[in-house]
Amino acid sequence: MTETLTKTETRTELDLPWNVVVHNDPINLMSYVTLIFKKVFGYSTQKATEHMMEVHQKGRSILWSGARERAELYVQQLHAHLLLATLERE
Amino acid sequence: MPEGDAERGAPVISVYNRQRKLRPELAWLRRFATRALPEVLRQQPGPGEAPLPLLEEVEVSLVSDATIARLHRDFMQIAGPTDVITFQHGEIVISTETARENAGLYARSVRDELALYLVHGLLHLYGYEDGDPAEAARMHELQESLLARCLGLPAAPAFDTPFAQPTE
Repeated sequence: MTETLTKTETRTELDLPWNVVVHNDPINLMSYVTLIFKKVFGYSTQKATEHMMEVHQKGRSILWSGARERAELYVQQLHAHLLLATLERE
Repeated sequence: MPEGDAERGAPVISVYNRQRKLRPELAWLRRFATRALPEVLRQQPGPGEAPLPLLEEVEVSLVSDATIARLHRDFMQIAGPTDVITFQHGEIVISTETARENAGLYARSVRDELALYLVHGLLHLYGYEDGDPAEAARMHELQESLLARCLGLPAAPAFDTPFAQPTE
């Protein structure tokens, strides 16, 4: 009896999510940062405030994770609002 | 008293200058803020939401009329600048330009006017509200007496100061 084994390997690296990270800055008001998070991501006031406080207290917060193209768009929008945002990969 | 309150220290209060319209007495305001915060916390909290004792930090920002007008519009849908806007997450935003204008009207120094707004913001964070006239009057009276106490002065009369005549 002959058996044929087909092995398929998938590289999962490509599927790792990209993180949109916002860093603390000395310029923007806390309230304004919250407002931008609501505008860009459509987050509720509570969720936007939680992220803002994380940025404020810990220096950074991951605002969104997912596909590269969309993450890049978010970073661009955050930059347009003069926030310090970067794209990172896990 | 809710559990944990005894161990929790008062929030840290910081004052930042984020405008260039006038040069504020920042060091003095910072000293004032650290005096005013415990004075406010010694009062009975107001009837509204009072996050102040639970906050880790209160951030006070001095801004221009243009900046406060933008916040006024974006958060309260009201056009034009205002003196002070307080956010429940522990942020007090104060316009130095409006302070200078009102200081002239109320015969107060700009420094004391800024200090008054700081007390006003702290009282908002401590549950005091100024939505209806009775609440506003109560808050006004309390903020004037707290201001006077923190400045080491007798409490100023509530409304007649702007009309006071020079004594000469």
